[in-house]
Amino acid sequence: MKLFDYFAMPRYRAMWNDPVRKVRTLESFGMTEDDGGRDLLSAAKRVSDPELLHHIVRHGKEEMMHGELFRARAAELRASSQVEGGLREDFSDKSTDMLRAREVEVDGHGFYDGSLFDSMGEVAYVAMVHVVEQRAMATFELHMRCLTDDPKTTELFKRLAVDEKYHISYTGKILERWRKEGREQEVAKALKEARRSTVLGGWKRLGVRSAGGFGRVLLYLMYWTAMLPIGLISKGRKMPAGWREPRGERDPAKNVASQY
Amino acid sequence: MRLLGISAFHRASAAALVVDGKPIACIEEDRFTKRLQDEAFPTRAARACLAQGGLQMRDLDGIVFYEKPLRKFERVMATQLSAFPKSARSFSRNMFLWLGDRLWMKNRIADELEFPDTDRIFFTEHQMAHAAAAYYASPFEEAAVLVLDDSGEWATSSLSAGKGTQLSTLAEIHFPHSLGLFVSAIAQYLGLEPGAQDHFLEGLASYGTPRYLEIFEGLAPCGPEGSFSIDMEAFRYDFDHETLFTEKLEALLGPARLGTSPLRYETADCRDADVAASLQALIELRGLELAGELHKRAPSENLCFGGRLATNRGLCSRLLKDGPFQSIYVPPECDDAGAAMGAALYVEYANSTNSERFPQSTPWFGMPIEAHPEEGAQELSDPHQTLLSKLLDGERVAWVRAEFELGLRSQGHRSLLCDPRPPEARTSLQETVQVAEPFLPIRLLVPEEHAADYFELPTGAQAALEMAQLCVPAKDKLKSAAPSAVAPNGSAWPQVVRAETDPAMHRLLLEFGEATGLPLLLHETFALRGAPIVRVEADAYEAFNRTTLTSLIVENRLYTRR
Repeated sequence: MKLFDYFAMPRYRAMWNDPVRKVRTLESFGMTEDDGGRDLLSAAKRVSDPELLHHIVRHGKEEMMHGELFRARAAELRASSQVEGGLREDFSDKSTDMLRAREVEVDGHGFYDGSLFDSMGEVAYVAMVHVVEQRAMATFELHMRCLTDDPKTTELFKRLAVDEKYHISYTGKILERWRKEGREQEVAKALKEARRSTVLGGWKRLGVRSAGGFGRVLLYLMYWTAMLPIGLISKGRKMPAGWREPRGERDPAKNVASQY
Repeated sequence: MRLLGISAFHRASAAALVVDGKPIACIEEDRFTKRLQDEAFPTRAARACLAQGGLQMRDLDGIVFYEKPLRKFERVMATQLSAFPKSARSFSRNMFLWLGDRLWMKNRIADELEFPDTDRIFFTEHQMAHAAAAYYASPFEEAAVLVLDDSGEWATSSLSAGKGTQLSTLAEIHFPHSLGLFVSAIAQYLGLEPGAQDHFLEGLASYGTPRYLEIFEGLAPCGPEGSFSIDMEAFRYDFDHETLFTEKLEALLGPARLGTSPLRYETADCRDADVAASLQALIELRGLELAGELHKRAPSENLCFGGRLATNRGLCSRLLKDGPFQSIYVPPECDDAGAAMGAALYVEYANSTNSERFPQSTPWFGMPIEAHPEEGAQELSDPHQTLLSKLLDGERVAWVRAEFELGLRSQGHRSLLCDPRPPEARTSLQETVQVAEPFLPIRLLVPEEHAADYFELPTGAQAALEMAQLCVPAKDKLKSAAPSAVAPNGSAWPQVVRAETDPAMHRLLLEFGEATGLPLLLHETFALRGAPIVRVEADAYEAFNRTTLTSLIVENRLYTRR
């Protein structure tokens, strides 16, 4: 187990032990798998290599099926535990939008984009899928370890792990074939790039989470210290009702240039 | 000027391209991310708009954001502090968001869109963006403009006057006195998702009676000169975005509904429908008072109505029927996505000598369909005839063509259609796309020349009728011909189709009418529950496979399932 995963385990355990977060996490996994599937199928339209095309189409369909399975399990749990509401963002989730990140629990997948195949080229794309699937496999194994009392969900992860193995295997074989065709350097470079961006992505997410949590604690402390006198003065201040005059006429050019 | 309008971070984010005052494209980000009403920065939508106009980012004269971040920050800070010490949790969350991101909007826009010239990034006031969307897209040379929204910077409601290309604000009502947030809080009280499911209330209202109106009048009393205020002892949306109401509301109306319990609207106990009906009655009353005041300050025959509450069909109809105006115009999308276009239009007319305006009566601001055949596609020589024969056979058919629509509703380019005559037609069509709320109304497509046969149509609302923005009384002929499309209160939701605007749909309706004697079709948006309107052929095919539909027609291709 990687150090990164070791530190993530308590958070994952807490997440799986909370029925609401569990359902939301499964639903968000479902969305991520859907996205992945959709993007792979979209990439498949640009693939000319018949062997790769066959695998990518199958891969895409399996990702979509994983999405269905996650959603079905979430629906079962929702029905049995009376979890209210859907996958709803709150303000803390919105803050992750800063890095265009997804829900914090989503990991492993969620790196695909339909246009990536064109912009990256086939070798870099397949290398990225290969590395991302390896990461997804590791993440699923981690989740299985944290899921101690839910055999059905564990079974679901086991089933998905079989498909993930296939995804890692076919991308590995394709990369191997390209290596043998004289594209060793291209493949090696693409794999190195993909691993680097995945690791960096992980550290970036960890950084955002840590900074986010730390920042909020600081702001909470600030509320009870620096803001305390202002808060006490402002407390209970009612905002006046009724018509208000609009702000005075300003030069249109200056007005639209101003953020205030 | 070539301007790109941007709305983001509050419900559906969108981008809009306006060239010399003419709207070229306006696209919501959720069409690409597939997350309904996605509020993420609309990078993909912006690029799609530029592609639609054949432009590059460097070709733009400016990018316009639809609110003023510093002024909004001032409001957030002031309201958080005035709620001290209850706002401890929300303060840290809000400030983290603002200090970490929203305050640096200019840089964010420049980075996201790779637009380095920050001097050409502009900002409009939120209410002005809504007012501009409503006025500049209208066919009127002069009009009074009413905006009723939830929140932006300080203003939540405003009165404006437009003449030619001049638009000026006359008066405003400030936060927290907001009818939009009031509606969201009541939606949450009834166990619905505030914001996203506010529109359910109007459908629910048609099943109830306004027996709580007196209580509601106390919660949002009328103020001087047609203004209003909100009793903030019953609400806490001013500082908390999770729970929008207080125990006082429950003390007045009874316990809030839990999301898991059924909505009460058809049983002997219609409490939830009665609450919704009371809210609807109050919104209409306050709307009429505001319209009366607007007419005094800006005498005109024409009303342009924008902002979130302009999506309320009952309110629009009431303003036209009982208000002082002879004509009404509501923009194709009156929520925040449409404000992206309004922001760009405002800067165009405020900062240039351009005097040409481009009235809009359709919401087809998206990209043309990306048509790539999927597995099992059959090429059709006459898709129109195939569609007609399937409808005549009683099938529910998905029809996808041309540009997709702006907003939550399809206008005929991403549609589900069926014969309206069977009594179960409405539920059958709505269930196809997983609409699980049987009280939600459904639209009826009707050709312009036959509309008066089935509906009590108001005058002065041609564009609003075309864009299905009004609910009107159904005539007896309709009640007997298409009973499932008529609400319990006798109203119906027409979408009038003109040959000039949509010749293909117009012809389909006439031919369906010739064959059946009823030139009407039930119309639902082709979007699965929780997903936006389908964009490309691949989306349509995927959605089709998740429904119980048996036929999908995409341009000239047919997909079937047995």
